[in-house]
Amino acid sequence: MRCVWLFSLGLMIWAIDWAPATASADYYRERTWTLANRELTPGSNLAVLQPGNDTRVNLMLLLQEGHGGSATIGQGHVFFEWSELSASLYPEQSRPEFQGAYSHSRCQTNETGRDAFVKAVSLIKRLPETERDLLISVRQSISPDCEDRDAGSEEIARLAAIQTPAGRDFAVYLRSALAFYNGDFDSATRGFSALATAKDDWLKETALYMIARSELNRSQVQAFDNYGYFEGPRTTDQGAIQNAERGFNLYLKLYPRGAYRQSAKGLLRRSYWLAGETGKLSDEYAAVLDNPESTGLPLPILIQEVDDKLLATLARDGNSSDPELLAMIALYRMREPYDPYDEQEARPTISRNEIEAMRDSLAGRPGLLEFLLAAQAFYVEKDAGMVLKLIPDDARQPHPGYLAFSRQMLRGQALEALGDRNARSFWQQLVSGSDPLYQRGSAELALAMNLERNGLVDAVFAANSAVRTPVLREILLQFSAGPALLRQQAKDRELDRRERDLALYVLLYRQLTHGAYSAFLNDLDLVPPGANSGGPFYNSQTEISYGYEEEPEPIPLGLFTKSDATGDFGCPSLKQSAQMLAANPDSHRGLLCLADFLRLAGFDRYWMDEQPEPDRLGGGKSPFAAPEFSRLEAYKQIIADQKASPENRAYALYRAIWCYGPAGINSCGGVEVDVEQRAAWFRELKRRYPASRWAQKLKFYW
Amino acid sequence: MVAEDYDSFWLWAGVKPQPVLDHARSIYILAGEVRASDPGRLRLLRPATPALPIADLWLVVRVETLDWQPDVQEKIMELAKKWDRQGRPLTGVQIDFDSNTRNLKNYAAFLRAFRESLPIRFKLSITGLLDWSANGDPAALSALADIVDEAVFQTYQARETIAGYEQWLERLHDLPMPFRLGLVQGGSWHEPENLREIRNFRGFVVFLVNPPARQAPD
Repeated sequence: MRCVWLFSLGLMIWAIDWAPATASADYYRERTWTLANRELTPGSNLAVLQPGNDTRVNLMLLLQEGHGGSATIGQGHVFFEWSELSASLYPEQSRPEFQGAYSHSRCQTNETGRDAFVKAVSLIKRLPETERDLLISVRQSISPDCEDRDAGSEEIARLAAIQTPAGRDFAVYLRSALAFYNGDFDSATRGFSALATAKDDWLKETALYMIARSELNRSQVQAFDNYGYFEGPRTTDQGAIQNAERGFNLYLKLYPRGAYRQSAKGLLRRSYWLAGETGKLSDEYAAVLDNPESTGLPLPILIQEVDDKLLATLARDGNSSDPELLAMIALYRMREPYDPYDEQEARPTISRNEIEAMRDSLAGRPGLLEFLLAAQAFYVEKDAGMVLKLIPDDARQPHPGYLAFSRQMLRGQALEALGDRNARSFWQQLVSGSDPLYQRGSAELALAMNLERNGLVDAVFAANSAVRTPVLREILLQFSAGPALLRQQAKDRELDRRERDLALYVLLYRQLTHGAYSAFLNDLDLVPPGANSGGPFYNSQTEISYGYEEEPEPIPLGLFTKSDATGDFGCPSLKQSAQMLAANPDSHRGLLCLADFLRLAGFDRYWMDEQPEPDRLGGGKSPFAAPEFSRLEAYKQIIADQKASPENRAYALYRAIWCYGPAGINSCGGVEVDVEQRAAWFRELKRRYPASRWAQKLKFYW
Repeated sequence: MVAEDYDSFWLWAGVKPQPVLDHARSIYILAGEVRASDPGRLRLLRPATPALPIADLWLVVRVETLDWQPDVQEKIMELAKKWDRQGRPLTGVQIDFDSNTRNLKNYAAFLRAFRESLPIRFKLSITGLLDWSANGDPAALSALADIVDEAVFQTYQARETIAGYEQWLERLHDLPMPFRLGLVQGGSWHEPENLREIRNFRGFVVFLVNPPARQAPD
């Protein structure tokens, strides 16, 4: 199902600086590191059948029993987008092959058609060479574009010179083909129909196929409005559609191994769609999904077709007996009902009885019925106990297929929902048997959440830990690891360089912003000389759940050790500011200089200051005690101290006002103050310190 | 606000045309997109070429990345020429790209190259973010002004008008290029007092949306 971002010209002003530098903000997504995904949201696809997956993903997973995949594309990924899944399972085949100029119109066959025509003409027996050459030359000189109704009219007139019956048949064909491309379907259909009695076999077969194509195209002539908008199957000419259907069926009957067989089958599906014949359409898809090669389309493209053409009506009518299609719809209907075009009453969420009614149809896939009943119980009825009754524990077995894996994942989620103490060992067993491509990531996410929720974050980083997916470990280092654990990881030479660096970065940042200045200074020694010192670290791996891969940013540990003095307040290095604060945590100059460091380095409204939501990985309480350093609070502290030196106090006033510039929105954290307070600060700065640089520089308050 | 009070509109993929378009002065129609995950491909989003009897027609391409392969630019030019033949000339091409404010210089360089391949008879428009007006480097904004014929600044995010937009609008006085303001149909909008006095202000464009569903997702 298409994601809602079709509509968004979205942007996020306030957080915009934290999106990666080359990316548009349009698809910047917040973290979604949670297992129970009921609604379709960006970044919610897991290798677990669930309502929140894209319907295409669910269908693909259902059709994949035991199929391998390209581990390089999915390496270390927990969540994935539909395009990534199809590229990883079908690396050579996810894109439609034909990318030519007219790939969206009937003109896409102009070139292959020309080649076939030329070949057929060169094989005609007993045709005068002049006529043969004329036919070929005319055909090669025509290049219709399916917009210009008069394309090739001069060239086609040359055919008047053809005299022989065989030649004339081909001339009729050529005129009809041109009429077809130029949009004159009445002429095209008439012309092709006249060739039903032609002697040449190629002509007979091709003309029969072309009648149906012509009728199909004729049916859509009135279906596009002035704006290029397709007004839907209901606006097509149903008489022409019926002709097309009859034509394709006749062609397939007469030419079971014909040259246009796959095309005819595909266009027949299109005809069923335009005719609104959902039953026939879903039967057709059921048949080909078991045998995609017969369509000549790779499975991902076929699934896309199902999603585009069948999903909406099938969700309404449920008109199928194919287990995978029924399951895809059932999972879709476990979401909250939603009709984007407000055209019909959206059906309510699926009930247990409706799934029971599918029993016979689902018999071909053992375990699927119980899984759907259990999913309905879990996601819709919120009855976790029912899941345990329906799905026995099978975690010890490896589950190469996604259905079996999904059953166990659901059971595990039910155990968690019930607070069952055995959940942890259940997850550990499931992790050890899981397939490395995507399955393992989901199972590790479950295990990591369990350990975090139970205060066992240290176990995640133990030597024998089953949680090895880097992105999951990084989330926990960022939000759930305390100073001792971070320090341990920062010093562990056996670890991946990135994990070590990240642990140290987080340790330094957290200590600096939680008043642990002495510890900060000690740990500063761990920063290697020559460390990278770009801007504050943004972890696109943990903050954006999916999307195109970026080179992981090197971790800028050098940010904390760069020794050039900063800013126009004449602050010393960060190390020296920290030393001032270690000696006296209320040192005004220390506070002002720490604030200047954070401001100038770019740490305002830092993404790492926001703990994830409670139902997400890393969403537990931060192990670093509040309060976190806030520039605004630091300035307020100095302003409130009447004994503060004029230089420090004037600067504090200046900076406090600037927290709200240039748009009246506070970027310094802490407790908000209203605009009257900022006005009062402004007046005080001007009145009490008129000679100071800061009073003179400041023109406005906000 | 009500779309009927305005005369220029965006018509996006999947949005059903509304009667208000019949009397529009200009219509910006989404033709295709370039996705970050697939920068070698222009994905067409409209099955047939529009043919507007009266309004100025703009061809919009939504862009997620500037890392195009050369093919893509060619396809856009071909499409523009195709749209230009439908009985009424194409007014221009609009690029819808949410450039990071820090990268406006790069964006300007990109647009310069694009402008050079775009036939002279087509104007070039871009969408803009309010953040550019507040925080964009003035030199980069001037560079943009030299290249584009207009910029349309969006006052909305998804389907909602951005809270606090009035403060950003203060900075519009300094914009060096002719600009319009983009509004969302049905969003809340109070026109700031001196807006129409700004020399470079050229009016509004309304993003049309389908009537909201009864139970919309977040």
